[in-house]
Amino acid sequence: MSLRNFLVARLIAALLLLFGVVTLTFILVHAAPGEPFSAERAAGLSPEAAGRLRAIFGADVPLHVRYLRWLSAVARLDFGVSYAHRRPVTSVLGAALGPTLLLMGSALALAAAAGAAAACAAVALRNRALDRTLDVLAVTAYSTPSFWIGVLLVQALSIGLGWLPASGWRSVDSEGIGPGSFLDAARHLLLPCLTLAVPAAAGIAMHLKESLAASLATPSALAALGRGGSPLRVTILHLRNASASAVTLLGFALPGLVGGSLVVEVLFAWPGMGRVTYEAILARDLPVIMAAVALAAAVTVVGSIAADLGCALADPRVRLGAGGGAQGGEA
Amino acid sequence: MRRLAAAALLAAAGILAPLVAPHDPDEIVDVMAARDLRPGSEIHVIARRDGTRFAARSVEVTDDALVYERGDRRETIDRRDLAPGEPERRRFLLGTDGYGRDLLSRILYGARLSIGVTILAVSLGLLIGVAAGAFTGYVGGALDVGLMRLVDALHAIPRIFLFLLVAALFGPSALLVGIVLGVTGWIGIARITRSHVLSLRESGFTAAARALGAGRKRIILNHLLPNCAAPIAVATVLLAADTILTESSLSFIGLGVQPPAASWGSLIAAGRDSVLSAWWVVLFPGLAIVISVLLLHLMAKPFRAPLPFQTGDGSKAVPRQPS
Repeated sequence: MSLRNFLVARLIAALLLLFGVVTLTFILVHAAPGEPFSAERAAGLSPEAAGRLRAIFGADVPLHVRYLRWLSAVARLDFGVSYAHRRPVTSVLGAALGPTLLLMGSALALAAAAGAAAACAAVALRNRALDRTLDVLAVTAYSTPSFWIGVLLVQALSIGLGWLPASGWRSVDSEGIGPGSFLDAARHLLLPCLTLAVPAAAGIAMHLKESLAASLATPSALAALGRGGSPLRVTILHLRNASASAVTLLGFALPGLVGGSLVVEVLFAWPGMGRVTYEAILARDLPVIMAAVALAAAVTVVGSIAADLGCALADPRVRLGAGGGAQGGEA
Repeated sequence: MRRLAAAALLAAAGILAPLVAPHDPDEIVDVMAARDLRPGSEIHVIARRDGTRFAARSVEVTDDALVYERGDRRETIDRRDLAPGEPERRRFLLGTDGYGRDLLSRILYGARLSIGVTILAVSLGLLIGVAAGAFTGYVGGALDVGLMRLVDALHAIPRIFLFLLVAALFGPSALLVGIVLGVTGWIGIARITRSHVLSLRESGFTAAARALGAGRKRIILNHLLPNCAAPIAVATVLLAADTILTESSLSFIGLGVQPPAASWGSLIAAGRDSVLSAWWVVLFPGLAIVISVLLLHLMAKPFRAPLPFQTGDGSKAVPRQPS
């Protein structure tokens, strides 16, 4: 399948999926007990005023009309007005998308770098003790909840030693763009990024080690070793061959990472999608939650398409397929 | 086998928490005197005649009075003001939390809760996943394609976001966590079951069973599923590990188990601001999570799990350096 056909097929599948997600959230929201503005009613709002509020927010028409309105609005990327913020959901979540992508992107990069380095070291250095230690470390880190790592890091490095800020993504007095504000942002980013990256790095290291070991057993690697290439050099040269399956894994693990970033964002008061959604839940701000679920699914789908493309780039033997992406055989 | 035994032991300790736990996990006797006690410390619970109780660090009984140490003061209470009987000695093996509750008991009850949520999620996931995967894998056709599309679609929704939506609508609870994790967790099991049924469907013994006149139900239940037991078991164990991690994360941010019930995640959340003065409140529940999840991962490891453990010992595949 050519690259263009692959992209078209995946995008159509992605659109269908998002349609499904949007419909599912609509069904769930309207199947739930309770109704909007019940809190305001309880606080003493008159029925007439509540009725006007319902009319303003479009909650006073029959269900199927609301569904069609919702679909056509979503198609125009209009998710309505947030109950809590009293401004368009798109602007609430739009402001949160940047910090989330920054956090997830940097955590992914850090995890990939650390995981690859650990896997290379374990395979290339032929040191049994080191190999065992890395194995144990990886499976332990993979079993550790990120929020626990985060709590311990904050207490040790922020509260105890006072080296790094414990929350937020920039200092209050940091304004504009310059070397100072960049450093400030980097200092804020370090802890949440590290927290999110540790379990991910462990997963990448475990997986990459297996495929590295397999690709070092291929004739090409044996020949390179036979010609006198150093194990480390041969390993690093084979990293590209081995990384295809790791990239697939990454695409597969993406939903988990998006979910994990939510907890980390809440823990570090990082102003991203996760925290906005969390606050929306406490406020029962349904338009924001519905849009956030759709946005999280969209981020995941785009990420998995990117992972399939990356897989094909890393290993030209990979054929791009419409449904299961770049994965061959069992998923 | 040792891993299985260790996991079974921990699970038993959790399930039998009411019998094993040394103290009532929710009982608050004397916040001022009993809070944030180090692991291994001891208090004496003294009951007054009027039914109220307080805690002391040490007690000394004289003829007509009781001398006790509470905080940094030494005080005396008249025997006549005491309820009959000796002061009760309580030892806290893992210390106490910020309300003076026994941490070990709370961790054990938290384990019970985690096990309950995990059993609920895993049985839901197993039931739906095996049924869907085996049936569509065997029957194939449009049904199979449809299921795989649905699986792909469900996989793309981060389950925590889906849970948050449901939690916002129905109110957060441990039951909801179990249901949502089960209803979203079946897709991994369905994938594995389907791929194995697909390959076994073409095997000789299936053809033989079919030739002998076995029906679809009999072939799936008696011939195919027993042969997929190992991979399904691995997927189930990994689902259990994932459920424990997710449940604790949700309880940590306050959207899972609701107080005063103890969950490992909420225990860590409660102690997170006092790690420097009372490290044990955060350390031990965290260790409980790590140990349980680690045990589950290690149990799955020898069976060539699909993710992320592809093979048992990768170092064997590395060619020896020419010597």
